[in-house]
Amino acid sequence: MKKTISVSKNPPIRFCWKKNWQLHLMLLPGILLVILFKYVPLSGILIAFKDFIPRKGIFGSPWAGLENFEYMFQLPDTMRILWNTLKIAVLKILVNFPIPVLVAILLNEVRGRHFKKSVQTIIYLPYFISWVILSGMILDIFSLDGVVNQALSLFGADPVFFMGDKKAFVGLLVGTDVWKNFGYGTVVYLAAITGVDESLYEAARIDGANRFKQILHITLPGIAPIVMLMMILNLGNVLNAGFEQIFNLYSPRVYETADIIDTFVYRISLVEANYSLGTAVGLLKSVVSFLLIVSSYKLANKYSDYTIF
Amino acid sequence: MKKSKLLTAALLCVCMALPATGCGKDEGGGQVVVEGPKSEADKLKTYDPPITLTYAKSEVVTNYPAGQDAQNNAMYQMWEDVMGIKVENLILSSSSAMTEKLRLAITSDEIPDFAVVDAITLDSLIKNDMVTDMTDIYDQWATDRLKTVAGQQDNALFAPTISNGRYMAIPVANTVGDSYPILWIRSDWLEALNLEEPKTMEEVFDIAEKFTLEDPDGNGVQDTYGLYLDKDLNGLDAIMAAYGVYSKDEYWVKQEDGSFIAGCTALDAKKPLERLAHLYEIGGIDHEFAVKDAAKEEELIASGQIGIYLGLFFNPLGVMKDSVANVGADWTAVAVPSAEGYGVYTPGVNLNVYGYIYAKKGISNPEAIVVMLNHLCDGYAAPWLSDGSGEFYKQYTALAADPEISQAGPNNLMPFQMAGNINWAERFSEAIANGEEHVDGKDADFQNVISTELPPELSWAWKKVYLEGYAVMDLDNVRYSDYTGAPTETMSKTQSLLNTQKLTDYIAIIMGDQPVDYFDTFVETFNSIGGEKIGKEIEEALK
Amino acid sequence: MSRKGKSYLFRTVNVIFLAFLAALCLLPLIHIAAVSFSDQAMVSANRVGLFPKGFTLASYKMVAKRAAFWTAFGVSVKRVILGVAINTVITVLMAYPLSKSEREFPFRRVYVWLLIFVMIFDGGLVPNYLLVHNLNLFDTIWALVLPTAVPIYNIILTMNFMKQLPGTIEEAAMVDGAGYFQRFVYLVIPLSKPVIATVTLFSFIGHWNSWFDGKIYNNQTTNYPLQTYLQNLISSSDMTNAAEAIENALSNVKTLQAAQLVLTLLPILVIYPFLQKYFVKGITVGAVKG
Repeated sequence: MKKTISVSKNPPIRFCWKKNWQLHLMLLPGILLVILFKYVPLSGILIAFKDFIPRKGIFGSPWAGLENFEYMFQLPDTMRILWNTLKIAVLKILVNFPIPVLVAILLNEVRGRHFKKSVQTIIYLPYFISWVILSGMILDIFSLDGVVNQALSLFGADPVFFMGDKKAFVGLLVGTDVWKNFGYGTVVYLAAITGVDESLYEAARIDGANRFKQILHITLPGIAPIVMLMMILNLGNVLNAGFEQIFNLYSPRVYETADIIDTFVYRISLVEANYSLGTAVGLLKSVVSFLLIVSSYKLANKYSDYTIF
Repeated sequence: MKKSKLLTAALLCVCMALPATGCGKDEGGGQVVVEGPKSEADKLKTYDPPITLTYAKSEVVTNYPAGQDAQNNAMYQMWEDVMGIKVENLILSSSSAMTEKLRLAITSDEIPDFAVVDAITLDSLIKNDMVTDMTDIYDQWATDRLKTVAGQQDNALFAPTISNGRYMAIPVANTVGDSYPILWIRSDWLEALNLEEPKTMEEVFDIAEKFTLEDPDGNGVQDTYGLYLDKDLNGLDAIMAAYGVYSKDEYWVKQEDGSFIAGCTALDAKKPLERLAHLYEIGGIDHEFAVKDAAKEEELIASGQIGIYLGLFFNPLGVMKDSVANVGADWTAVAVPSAEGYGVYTPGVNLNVYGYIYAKKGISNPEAIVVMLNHLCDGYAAPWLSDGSGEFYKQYTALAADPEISQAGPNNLMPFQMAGNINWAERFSEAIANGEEHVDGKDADFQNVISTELPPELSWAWKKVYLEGYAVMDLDNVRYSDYTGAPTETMSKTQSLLNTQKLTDYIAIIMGDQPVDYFDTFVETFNSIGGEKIGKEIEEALK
Repeated sequence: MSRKGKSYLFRTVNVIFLAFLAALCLLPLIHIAAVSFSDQAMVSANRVGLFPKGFTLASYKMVAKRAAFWTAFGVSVKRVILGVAINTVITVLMAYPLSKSEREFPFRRVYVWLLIFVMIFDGGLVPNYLLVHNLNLFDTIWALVLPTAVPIYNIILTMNFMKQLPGTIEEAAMVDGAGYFQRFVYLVIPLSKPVIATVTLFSFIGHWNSWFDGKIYNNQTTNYPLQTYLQNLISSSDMTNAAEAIENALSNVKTLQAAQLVLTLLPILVIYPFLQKYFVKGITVGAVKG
């Protein structure tokens, strides 16, 4: 199922009301809601260019030009949070990429159908638990006298200061994120593996290739396009380091390494009431994300004939 | 693509216009003219017909009496009956989320008619011209009792409400006792190691070291910590004050030359920091304190592993009672001693207020705010000033005696509460000695203190709180920050940054990540990112 | 070792490893459940691991009496029913036209870009707040349901799924003179069951788990959905005044919190296995195949 759209010829955009009115009608309620709840508040981006005074409203507040942006770049925090965001997001993407591939391959080797199904069901489960609930558990489990450190001490390792050590905390963020999400990737890759042509394996077996070689030369190349694709699609996420996770777990002690754009925007806006600066930082993020997403989808289209929309 | 761009542009135009209609209403409305009271009795009047005022209520109660809630409960009804003021909760939120709620309410220009807010929110309200000038209204309408309670220490509590020399809100006083530090110390450990109660802060540290190294719980394992400390450094300020250092957040100290420095940058802070670093090094402080919030760190108290806790009078009701249940601990309250050569211990405290009560600009009865406070001060908040005949006080006492209400917390059921400085230890001890069965004004708690039906650790806790905790407080001997006025510009911009800096650097020194002399670097950083500028702004503001 | 032996060894190790992995995913949940069934003193001393210590149902009995929890639970249930219904209807309604080729439906691209754009650009907290406020949606269930009514990611998923449905069936129906509506209702929807199940589950999870909007768009705690209520509970440990601290110490104990977490997880655990069989198909086809 490749290329559902002929990329070569873009037909001109016409409304085609007569032929397509039913299609337009189906889209109408959704589009109206999108306009009301997504496009209307977009005017709030103006706040970034204003000295927002609540009493005067968004439109009545005086213009500030690019002052908020200048201030933003002067703030020593800005570079730090940008770097933190990139670092955490990229780490999450990188670590989260081989594990599901590996697990999917191993799961595929399992013969027992029920065992396979059960494992699949269980590892997908954390994906559905909210960070509010998880944070409550994580704070408990990763404390010095928590389960994890008790296990570490069995191996004679020194206890790790997960919630406060600047490096360990980032590790914790990446680790728990992978824990929560690897099941999702596994399910996707597993389905891809099932789709690999069975006759290739047979041919390999006749050639005397063992299980390991079959994986190396058939399974991996078979799912490579999908792995690539998932990586590319993740590009758009490099500025989303995970607000809900970090917001519910961090403390000032780890701001230096774990304060990201979204948590910063939240604090600036709601704790320090500097709405204009908060919006400016948020806007910067949106613009960069938008460029990244568009280019990643272009890449996806180019390398794997994939059209997402 | 052209058409789509056009469409997008058109959409955006439409969209921008829409919220504009909602905001920017700027009727402004001048000051409503308020008449003075017709008589002294008018100051304690009952509005007839009753008036309704909207309010932002911080919800504390979790178990309401049957059939009651935050809006419809006996206390709200009583306010309506006694004062003729119906309080309507426009915003109902936990107190931790209240600041955000009010920030957002300000942006939509829809604040409640009145609320008790913190200094920063008040400042924001004043800057947005949303509150009524209360100067004259307070002057005319406040009873002498209110003026005694709200105006304590030469109107010191009013400082954050002042804008251009006018009072823009009225402080809702609280007892100093709520922030007066107490040294809680494991008396069973003192006994086990044959130690005396400490007379100086140095001795406190010595004891903490012994608690760490000499196995006070006698289990043969070194699993005890001398001193409690958590990631917010709760308790540290009380230690610092023993060295004449006032390290609280937002605490400014006037120097001899008239300039202002942040209390936490005073050089004498090095001495206690050095002792703390040493204590940390020998294992006298939980090695993970820097990431545990109070709730988490307190688990070590519950499990009976911490020997010294600089806290407040009500702590026994928290995890300390669990330590009694878990390991049979016992604690004693000690007045915090000062370090050698530092004179009488004087703790630095915040302004003892619940907050500042404002009247929204443009409401027709701003004096009702003062009338409410008058009723509260008519016996309830200041029993020593009254003969107990006030209607509000009588009704309150009657309701508070109801077991269901008493369990939910009578004060928390009311829209807000107020309290003068009263040391309950004397009053309670006296009542017990005389065999009295009730103590007006705090009867719910008194019943708990004398109850014989509570679980033993809870009974222990109530007695500790009121008979020991309160007893070691010297409420007249406290120190406020030398600047408590409205936050200056740099203050509101950088205060949280400064607080974080202090926390991070103090912790780095205590944990030995940095040597004690790193403190000088800290002072430099602190001043360069805003500390110095704020000092100048304060000088300017006080001129 | 013989080849057979090796392969047997590998399979055994593999099964053990995967079982371990699955256990790793379940352990935290077991721990929190253990806490909820344990005696409070044991928990505050941090002595509970994977098994309850001092087994008791006390915390559940306390939760049963806690009106605020059940109010919040009710709000969440209401929100999920209404929200998922709206989400699902909008999703299939929008996904179908967008799954048409550009030759057939040239205006498609405009709609798609309209959606993609707002997936990334957001006015920010304050404008969203002002809008909901101006629409008078505060403290109503609509504030939680309408701003999230159009789940763009789900639409793309469903759209991609519908794209790969064999076109010939539709073409045959078209020849019979069936309009888009008829084809949509009688042909496409029945064939799209797996992806509809998937996006329904995603909506369900999304609505059940979200807490931020509940926190921002409600002025009354009594209108909080469950996760907002919990977030509030977990985060409000700062003790600013004596009365509150006393209140906290007496009632907000860990076991009680754990019991509430477990009860919040329950609906997910119940509904998940039922929809599970569908979404493996739904998601893989929708997300991966072009």
